Amino acid sequence: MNLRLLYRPDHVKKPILAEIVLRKKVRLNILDAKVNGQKGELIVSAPLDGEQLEDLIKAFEAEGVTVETLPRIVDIDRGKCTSCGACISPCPVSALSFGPSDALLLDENRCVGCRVCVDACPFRAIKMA
Amino acid sequence: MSDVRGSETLRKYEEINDRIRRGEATVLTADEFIEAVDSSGLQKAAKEVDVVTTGTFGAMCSSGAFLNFGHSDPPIKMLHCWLNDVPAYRGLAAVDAYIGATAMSETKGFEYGGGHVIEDLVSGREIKVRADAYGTDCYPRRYIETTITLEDLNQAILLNPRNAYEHYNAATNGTSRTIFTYMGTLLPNHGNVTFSGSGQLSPLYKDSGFETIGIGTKIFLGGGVGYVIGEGTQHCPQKQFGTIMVRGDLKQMSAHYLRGATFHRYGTTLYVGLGIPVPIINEGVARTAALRDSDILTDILDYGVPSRNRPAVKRTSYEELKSGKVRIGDSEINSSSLSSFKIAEEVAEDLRDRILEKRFLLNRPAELLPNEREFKPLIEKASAKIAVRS
Repeated sequence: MNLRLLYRPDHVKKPILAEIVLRKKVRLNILDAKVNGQKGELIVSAPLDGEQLEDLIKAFEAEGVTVETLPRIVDIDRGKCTSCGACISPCPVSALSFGPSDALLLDENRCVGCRVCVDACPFRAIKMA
Repeated sequence: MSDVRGSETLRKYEEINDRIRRGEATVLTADEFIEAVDSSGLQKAAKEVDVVTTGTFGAMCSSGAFLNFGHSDPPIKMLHCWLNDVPAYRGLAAVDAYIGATAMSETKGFEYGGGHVIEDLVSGREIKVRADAYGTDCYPRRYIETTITLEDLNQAILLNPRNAYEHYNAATNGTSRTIFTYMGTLLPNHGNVTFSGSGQLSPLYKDSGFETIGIGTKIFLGGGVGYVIGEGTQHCPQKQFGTIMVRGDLKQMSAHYLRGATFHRYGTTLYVGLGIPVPIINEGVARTAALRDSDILTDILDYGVPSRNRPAVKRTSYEELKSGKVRIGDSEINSSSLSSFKIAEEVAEDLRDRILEKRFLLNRPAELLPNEREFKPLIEKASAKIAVRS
């Protein structure tokens, strides 16, 4: 599951993520990070579900971090997509492929949110969720 | 190719059209024709099939539209003209302009260009027109700003100097950084391969001898009817790099088959849906119409080399490229297309159905296209350099 972590200004200087990773022994993968002196926004991939995921979310919330679950990392606009394939081979983790009727498929478990496909799409049909 | 190029030994255009009018014509897409050849052999299929339809939907940068705005009052002889902030070519009469697919917005840059203006026009959206002028006695006005739609225009003619490359080189990148090209995003160290063209559905490859496609050939263009008006720029048919110049009425077309597009850090373009009906007038034409992805070869070039003569990394087939994996040396590399096979198939099927429904007849070209043409480089002459320096 991918999570969006929103940090308030007073949290930006604290190593909250590192502390939780060490304490929970969870292998979080940072997909995107925007941090400055005023606020922070991280997108992380957590290889957890069920109670373990709930437990992780509570740990962040206990530190004052707002947590949103992201069922999708990128959105594909089916009206704009022409099923050309310009995004498929540039994907460094092979998360994109054609499904039945040449519909573009995204494997959320592989996607690391690197944005390569967003830029590679000639029709701007792919956006970060 | 047959002995006399364009010889109608199997059937004549008039016979094909008679059969279409009577509802008796056999019309197959190129994919279906290959299946027919597989099941009954080339000779029998050539005897039975009247027309093979083709299709492609890909980025075609040498595309654009001539527009006539009509005259304002007082009238203006436009010096510069912008459509949604995209500059249009104005070296023409007072209110004629050419909007080219790769012209880019002066406010939005890479994100919006002439291709998008054409798509917006075809979609019926309003376009902001801005023009300036120096003013003359007959055209006193010096500035105008208004909006237009496709319907407001007297003429809107898609006229593309180079479309439908017979086939095209595939691309990879041997450098250590990601590069952004008109062949899309290319990952470092031969991280991926991209390619363009529809392979066995390719309009020009299906008549590789240029026996039927010529000036005046009626085609499917952008969802409407178009015509081949000559060889395209850089036409080089002897190397299977044939191209065509086409025109059609934008007012008949559909945004499903004309789409503005952006290649990241390269620029804007127009994706064009184009299909040509190939009449099976002789066995030579049948033979090229039956070519399959495995027969259609192309080079994978290293676009990381900033030269006109990019080195070929491998010669491959459209069959291998379309499989999604290409073997280069010991590595298996992901490959994907830049043009849409899905829409290319739709074009070929739509054209087939139009013919079967008697809405589209074929015609003998007024003149065949050259089947040999040198593609020359631009040579920088020493004398010109001296002249520039002085």
